[in-house]
Amino acid sequence: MQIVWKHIIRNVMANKLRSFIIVLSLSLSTIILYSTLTIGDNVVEKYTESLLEVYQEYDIQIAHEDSTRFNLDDLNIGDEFKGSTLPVTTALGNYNYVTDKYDKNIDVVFIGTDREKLISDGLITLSSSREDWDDNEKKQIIISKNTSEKYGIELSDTILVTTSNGDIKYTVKAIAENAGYASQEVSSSLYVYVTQSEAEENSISGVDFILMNLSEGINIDSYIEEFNINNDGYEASALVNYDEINQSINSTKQVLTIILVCVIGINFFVISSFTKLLLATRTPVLGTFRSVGASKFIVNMVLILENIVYGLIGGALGIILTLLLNAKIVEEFIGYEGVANAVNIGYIVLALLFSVVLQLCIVITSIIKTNKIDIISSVFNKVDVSATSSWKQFSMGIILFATSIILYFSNNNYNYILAVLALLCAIIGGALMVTKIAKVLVDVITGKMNNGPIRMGIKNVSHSKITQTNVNLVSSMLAILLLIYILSMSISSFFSGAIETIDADYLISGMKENVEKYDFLDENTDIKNYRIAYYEMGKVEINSKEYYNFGITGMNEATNGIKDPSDHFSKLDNNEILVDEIFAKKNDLLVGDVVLLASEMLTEEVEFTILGYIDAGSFYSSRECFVINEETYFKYVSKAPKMIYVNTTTVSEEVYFKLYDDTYQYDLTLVTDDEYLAVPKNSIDGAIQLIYIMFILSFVLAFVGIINNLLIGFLQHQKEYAILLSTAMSKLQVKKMIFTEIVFSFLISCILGGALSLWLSKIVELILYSINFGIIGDINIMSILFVLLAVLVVLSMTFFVPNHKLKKMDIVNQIKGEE
Amino acid sequence: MKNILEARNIVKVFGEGENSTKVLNKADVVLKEGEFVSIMGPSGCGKSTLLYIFGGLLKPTEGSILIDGKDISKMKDKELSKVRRTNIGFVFQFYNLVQNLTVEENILLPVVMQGRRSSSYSKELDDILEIVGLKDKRKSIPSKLSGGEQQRVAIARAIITNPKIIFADEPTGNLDSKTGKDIMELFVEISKKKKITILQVTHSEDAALYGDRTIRLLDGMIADNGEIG
Repeated sequence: MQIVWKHIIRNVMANKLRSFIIVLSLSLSTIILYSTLTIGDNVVEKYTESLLEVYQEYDIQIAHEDSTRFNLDDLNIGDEFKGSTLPVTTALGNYNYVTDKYDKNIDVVFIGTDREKLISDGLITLSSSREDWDDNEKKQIIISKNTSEKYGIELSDTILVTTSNGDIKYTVKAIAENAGYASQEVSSSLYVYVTQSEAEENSISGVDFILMNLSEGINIDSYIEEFNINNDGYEASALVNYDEINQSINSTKQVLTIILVCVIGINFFVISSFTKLLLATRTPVLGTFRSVGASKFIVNMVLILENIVYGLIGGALGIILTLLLNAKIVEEFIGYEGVANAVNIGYIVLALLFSVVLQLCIVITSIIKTNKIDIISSVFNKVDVSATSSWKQFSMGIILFATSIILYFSNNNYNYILAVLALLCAIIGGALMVTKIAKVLVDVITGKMNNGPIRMGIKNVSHSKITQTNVNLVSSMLAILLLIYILSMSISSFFSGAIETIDADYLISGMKENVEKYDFLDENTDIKNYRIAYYEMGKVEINSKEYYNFGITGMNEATNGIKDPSDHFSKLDNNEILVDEIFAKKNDLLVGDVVLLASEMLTEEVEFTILGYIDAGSFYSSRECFVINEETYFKYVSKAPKMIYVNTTTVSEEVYFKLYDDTYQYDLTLVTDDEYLAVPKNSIDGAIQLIYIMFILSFVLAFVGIINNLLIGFLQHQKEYAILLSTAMSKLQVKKMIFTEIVFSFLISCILGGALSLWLSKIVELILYSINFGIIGDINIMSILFVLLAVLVVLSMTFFVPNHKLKKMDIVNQIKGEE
Repeated sequence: MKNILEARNIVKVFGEGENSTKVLNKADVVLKEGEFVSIMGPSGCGKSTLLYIFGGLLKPTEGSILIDGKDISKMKDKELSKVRRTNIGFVFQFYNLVQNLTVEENILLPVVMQGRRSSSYSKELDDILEIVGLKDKRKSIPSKLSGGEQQRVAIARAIITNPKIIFADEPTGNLDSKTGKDIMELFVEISKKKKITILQVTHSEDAALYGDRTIRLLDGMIADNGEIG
């Protein structure tokens, strides 16, 4: 057995380039699988860790549903409650920030609480900078390091803050680390920690929210449920909300699964083409094994063991690369930074097993075929290099392709599993059909040509096994790569469309009252026009089924990206809703259905009748939203707009600051359109970048595979070339023949691959809808044709390989069989 | 001396229907223990086919082959493989060595295929390396050896399990005359000392002279089964 293992390891090492390509292919799949497995654990761990750092031992937050102040005594917290509470009162002020560059008013957020408890419970940590303060003394504040650095406020400095009690001077008595609760300071506001009584001063007494630390052994979810039942008007919520984070993780896992399917498809074609050729060169050795008494079983075992070695190396490399890239993947797909590597032994074993099983599944057919060759043919390497195209294989391909069509058109509910099945059937079916289609094309074209090197070259496309392998490889690869290209173009297009929908220079949010209150909108002469959006996003129950991040929007006409081709808005009555058509189909919602909506966003549970369908894709990518008219929205949701889109006469710092002052007066938040889009844009750019890297890598692998195929093909046919050169053709004619064979094979591949990619893109569109990512495929035929042409030109340049070999070939030795 | 190989009514047809070719037509061959026999005949007469049928690498269309009393013509692959690794050795014209194994690893291949530990054959290995004159090349790989040396390795591999019979297909076909002579002398030594029957296919009359007798094949039939006087 030792000798067999030596033989296997030496084989792997001897074919370094091929081994490397196989291992890299496997590692790509393993990276995606391992990421999919660990992303949930990583993110939940990071999420939990970051929230634990903020909230320490505190479990829940209690607030009034109307955001009004209350007292702890107003609550029924249960007789068995033995934990601790931290009441917090907030207030607002204004600080005039003046430097050489700036002169603007900054919001000040007072966080009024028991500061000693805040420190002792670890919610904030003071840096070494602190001066003695007396928690009973007023006008002594703690600020975070972030605030100190941003606004140049040092320990012992005094700042003048305008409050509802007038201008008050506060002295900085301590500076807190940018950690824990202080890390929550995300806006440009200036956060100061004061006593609770100071925050309440000259205002309604009471707290805005209470943090509660339940004692050991009390189940958080049960407590919250009971609390909410016993305290009408109040809401308790877990500080660590696993449901929300799991939802975003699930969406990412689904995207990663799609990428995994595509990469496995690429793996299949790259590895199987290499394996076929590897086995072809190893056939005499296998014949020798058989001749010295190895049974078919033993030969199979040798081949299987060799591929297990590839699988293990590829899997191990994939796992190592994932651990290195993990943080980047999570950052790009979910947006969490600094996620630690999850070394989960179970997942490592699973990932290694996956890699091994994948490799074996890809090569098993080739192994079985090789073992069917009789011993003598193996020993003397009388392997048939001529291609065959089987009707059986073509029929299988037709059946699978037809299945994908049926699955696509029958999947009215946008079911994820059916859509992925359709994708797999289309990829495999397409690959099985390619050979026969290529042969038919070749026969048709060569039937009309005169004999000559060009006709011979074209005929070789369907006669040579190696060329056939290349056609299969390139068609399938190209289909998948073009699919990804179309997908990324569609995502970019969608995003550009979303940007157009915004169509504003500035966006204002934070409104709490109806729009008439904000008279600056009409008085500010820099404002050219403005548009109001009424919507809320949150958890909703529709007929008792829960949806997270569901949108309820109020409008009287189709705006903000909503499309209404059937003009339903003109008939939209109170208590009627319009539903996105795709969302409706996914959830079996029909026109005329009555749905019961329950949500914190609504003042009460309401029944609505579905009037009709709209297209909300540009408004909300997940399409999970209902549209009601404004009157109904005001009645059941709020009169306050969610967003005001403002276009100004010009875009300048002066206009910005003037608008800022206007919005500041009303406690509103003003951002530019770039600031608003920055986060999703970065996320999408990052995700597309990662996808492109994966697929460029796969394309490079396939390209190297093609070169390898051409080399092997030349070796297999060089005697034939030698005979042609010695009897009938000049070197130029042989070169013409080979060049025609190469170019024509890739031309067929580009045509078939391009056609297949168009169908695949329709299926992927369906898959995206099924995971609440409602992007419409943007198929720009001209750009696809350009890509195909570029690929054809690049692949045609591989002619240099056989051309170079032909120059160096010794014709005489070839004919004699001595080379 | 007992019969090591008894082949009766061997018929081999390649292809089907109109495209079929009868390569062997009721050939009978009997080989005794320790004999060194050559098969000769014109190209295409079926001598290599006959050799491979005897060695179990091809199945006859009709007929039976007994190797040391066991009929291999009806055996399944597993049983036949066992016979090949215990009772039969093969030597090919182009040596057919495994290029990434050393000389001693190539020689021990049949042992490995039996599932035995190669360390249990270390004495036999040393003896055989001595016989074939490759003791100082045991760690070399085939590409570093001459044609004659490679053929010696192939012969050593064929005899490591002390088989009853060795089949050699043009063993000197790829060698110069001097080297070919050395190989023939080695075959003679093996057949006499180890009492291993050797059956070789050859085009060379000189090589055939080393044998005890020559079987001549013509158009798939045994034309002459005589001994060399």
